[in-house]
Amino acid sequence: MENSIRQCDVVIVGLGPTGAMLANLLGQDGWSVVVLERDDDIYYAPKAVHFDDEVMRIFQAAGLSEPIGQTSESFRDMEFTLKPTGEPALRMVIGEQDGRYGHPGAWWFHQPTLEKQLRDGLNRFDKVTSITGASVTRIEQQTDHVVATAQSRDGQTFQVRGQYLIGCDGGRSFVRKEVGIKLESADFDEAWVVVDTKTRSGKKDPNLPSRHRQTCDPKQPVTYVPMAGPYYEWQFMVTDGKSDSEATDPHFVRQQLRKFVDLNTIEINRIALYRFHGLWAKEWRKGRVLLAGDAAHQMPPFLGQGMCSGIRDAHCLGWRLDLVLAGKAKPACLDDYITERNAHVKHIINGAMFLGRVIQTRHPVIAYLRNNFLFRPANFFPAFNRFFEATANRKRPMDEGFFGLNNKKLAGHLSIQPAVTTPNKSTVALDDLFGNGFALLGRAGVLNKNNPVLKRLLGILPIQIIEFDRNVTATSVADSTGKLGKWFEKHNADFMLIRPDRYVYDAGKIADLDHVLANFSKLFAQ
Amino acid sequence: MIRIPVLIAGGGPVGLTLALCLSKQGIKSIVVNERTATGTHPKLDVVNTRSMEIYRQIGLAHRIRSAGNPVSANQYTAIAASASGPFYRIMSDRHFIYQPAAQAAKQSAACRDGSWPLESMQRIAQMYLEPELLQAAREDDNIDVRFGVRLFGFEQDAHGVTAMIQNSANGSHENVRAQYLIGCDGPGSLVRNFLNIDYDGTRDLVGELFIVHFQSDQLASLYPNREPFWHTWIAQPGFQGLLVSPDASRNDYVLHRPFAPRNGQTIEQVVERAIGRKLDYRIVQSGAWRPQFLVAESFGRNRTFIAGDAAHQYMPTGGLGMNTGVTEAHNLAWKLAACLKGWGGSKLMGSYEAERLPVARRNRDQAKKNAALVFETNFAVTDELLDQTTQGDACRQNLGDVFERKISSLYESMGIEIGYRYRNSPVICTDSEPEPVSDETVYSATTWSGARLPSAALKDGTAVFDLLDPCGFTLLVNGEVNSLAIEPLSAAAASAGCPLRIVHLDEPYHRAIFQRTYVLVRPDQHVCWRADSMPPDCTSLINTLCGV
Repeated sequence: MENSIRQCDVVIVGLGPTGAMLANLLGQDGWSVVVLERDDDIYYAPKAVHFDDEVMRIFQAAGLSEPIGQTSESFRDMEFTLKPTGEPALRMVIGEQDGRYGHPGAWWFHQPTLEKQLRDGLNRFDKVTSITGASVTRIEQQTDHVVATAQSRDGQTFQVRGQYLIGCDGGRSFVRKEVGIKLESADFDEAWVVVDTKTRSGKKDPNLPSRHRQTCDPKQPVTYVPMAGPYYEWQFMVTDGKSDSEATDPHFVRQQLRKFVDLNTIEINRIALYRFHGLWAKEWRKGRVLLAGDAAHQMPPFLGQGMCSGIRDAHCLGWRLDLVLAGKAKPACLDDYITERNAHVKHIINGAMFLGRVIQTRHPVIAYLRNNFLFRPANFFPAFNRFFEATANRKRPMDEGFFGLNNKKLAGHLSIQPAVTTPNKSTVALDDLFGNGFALLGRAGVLNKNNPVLKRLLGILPIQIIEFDRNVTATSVADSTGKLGKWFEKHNADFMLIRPDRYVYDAGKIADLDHVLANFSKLFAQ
Repeated sequence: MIRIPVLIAGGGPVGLTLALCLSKQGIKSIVVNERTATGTHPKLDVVNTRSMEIYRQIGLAHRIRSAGNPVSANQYTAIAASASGPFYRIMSDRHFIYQPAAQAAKQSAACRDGSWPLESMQRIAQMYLEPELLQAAREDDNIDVRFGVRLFGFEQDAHGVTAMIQNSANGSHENVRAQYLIGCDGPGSLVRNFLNIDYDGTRDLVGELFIVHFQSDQLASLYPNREPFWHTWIAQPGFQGLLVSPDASRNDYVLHRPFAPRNGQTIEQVVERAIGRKLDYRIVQSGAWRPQFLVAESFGRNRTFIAGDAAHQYMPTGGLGMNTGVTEAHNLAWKLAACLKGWGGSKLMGSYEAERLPVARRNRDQAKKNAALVFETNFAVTDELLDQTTQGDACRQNLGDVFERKISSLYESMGIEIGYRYRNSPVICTDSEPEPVSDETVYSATTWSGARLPSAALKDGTAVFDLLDPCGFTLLVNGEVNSLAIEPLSAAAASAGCPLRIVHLDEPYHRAIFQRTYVLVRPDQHVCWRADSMPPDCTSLINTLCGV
């Protein structure tokens, strides 16, 4: 194998959801990718359980939302109970449930199924190769490339050379350690036991709660997750100073489970001990090596954002890599990936830790205050009910990063995704018109396609120009739901420039187009 | 992803026996075992008659005998004040079970009424049995033994089981896709717990007992021919116990005591009181343990089953723990093979629980009864026991009598060992006769459908058991019949794809033992149908037996 250095554009280490997602996006853009995965197989049990509308939208961008939608289940709200049984103290709506981003706001899924779907997606691309059972043992960087040395399970050593290497290799990331990136830790360390089960019938169990539940008992905090399909998960905080082996002892776990479910209806698939932490990488990049997913951040699961954050990383990084590899954007734009994602992830980690401390507190006084001053009023006042969003807004607009300054209120927000009607009278989701590039979305007739900056940009970048009107015309789509018009009106805009990851770069009135585009074009090759 | 027909969790005697029985059926398996080596505690001390018959079928009987008590050495049980005497009673020739294995084999071969097992029991410690089974499994191309690897979790579906196995040392893991998963993973069984199967029975009924494992080269000299008895029950006023020599050719001994050494007492004092004099010995290990009388409420479902200590825990009174597990492995192996080869029907795996759960309960009750008999025997230990008076003589005489009457039940229960019958099994044809009387102690040879086939031999000494097809059904034909008569059954078996072997018997005494012209025997040596004429519908018979 001495002479066989594999060549590719991007080396991805780790074929978990983040790595597989990034490989799908880069494959779609036509890049050659080699993914090196240490394990032979997809992990047999679920780890993450939930994704949100934005993540479903990313699956949509990769052309995978249909199969994933078929095996996942959307849901609306969650419940808080104070004891294992009894009526919930509070029921709360999760995320945006008005479909504004084109999908239901919250989904349950079964991770092994989803990972298989992501891997199947890679079969569409001849230039994407996944090598499983390959442990990376060394990473060397030169000015214009990076080489990963890996060992296959049979002991053979081989090398892969690419322009960039992305470490998507999880919490214990080899890549992170190899390039010498340290983790920063928030003061959060809780041991929980995660118990995955499947119904004996192999079908959903109508007798089990259909909603996600937090049992907020300071003596024994418990999280309950009705996953997609016949799968149900309970998470028990390790209490009373139990050792790891005592807490995971199957007999003891069954005693705990008994309070929540008739054991004659389920079988256990997994009992695993997790330490919930708030951790993030001090740096996300060393030269041609970048981190994404759990390799760059780990968070308590109370917001269901662990995997979601990794998928967002992939989307945020994917389009930038595409432009940099093609020589269309300056490599500096990769630093925006870090700025944007780092800020978002820290916000989510802080929110998840706050929720862990309040919702699942072990302190009786905090529990009393929470029950009486948070749960109780939240049943009557919608504002309280939305406190989740306040503490941890998953759609939090960017403070810093790659966006314009013309419409400061809107730039850096996630764009909405209503359905529109195309000139050939078919109804499509807006994103599907955008493709994988930028989109310049405008009211019918306002965009001057002869604008010289735009013309130059069109020669370099993938930009879709889309105009909308009330009704379909030969050149514009119909805003059949009226939502686009309202959105534009609300933000006093004639056009919006939307990034490939569906975030609004900037917006403005027709007179603003020149300087918005001029500002935008700074990042791109002349 | 490793693909394998059967994944076995647990590499103890039952898991390894299952793998070896499966290999005999031509079925490949992986055995994972969390510990990296076999045990170093003597633990069990007997492979009973039925287990030895099973090991004979898979070609391991000789190997096990040569690793255990020499076949020329006794398997006596005695009651005494200490190993130094006086001995109140020795059970030696009241039952063939106590005889040296070689001598018992001769007696068994001469038996003409089917009342004896084909193999006598073998005195052997678990720590010497396990390496033999492990070595045999490692030599077997059908078995992939992985010690230091544990079952982490699994999910079953309609077609099989996806399991994750994990290296205990470095945490690395692999997925296994198996058609079946069998948990032979001991008392704390992960498989039983993950299936959410509870035990029936009361936990910790007896409280804590105490066990000492020691080695001594001198202790043997206290016994005739330097051949320690198998069991020496110690009975003095104020001191009781059981001294076990699992193997007369080795220096390992186990002392069972009803409680841990009391305040101020040392383990050495306890050992020396049982030995009865000062001699050289070395304590290897000691500790408290809790005997149980528990049986799982179910033996598994769909694609996952449990066997051995995972399915039941007994106090070892009667030596029924592992031995029940060996029989379970034997019952499972051919059924798994039949299903994997395609001739086993949908009801076949379910019959495992239907057949074995009642036997597990019966054996549990027997262990409980035996424990009570041991307890009762202690009531005959009186203060005058060691007096050199006529009253002392009477006490010793009485204790000996009580011992023979009660404790013998732990050893001579052939009705338990080979007389168990599968009743109400969905894959056994109901016998036309009412069930003959069943007794725990006395085994009555019968070919009643569901019973273990009685053992017999041909004129040249060949055991009938050795003629049975271990991978299929065997039709025993007693006396002259028209070969055309058998044709429909052969045709039905052939079309079902299940092997059928025909064995003609013509010894005059066979008719009395086998009782019918036709006796159909399963791979596990149990009768599943018998009659004097062929049934009108052979296809329906074969379908029932195959669980279709």
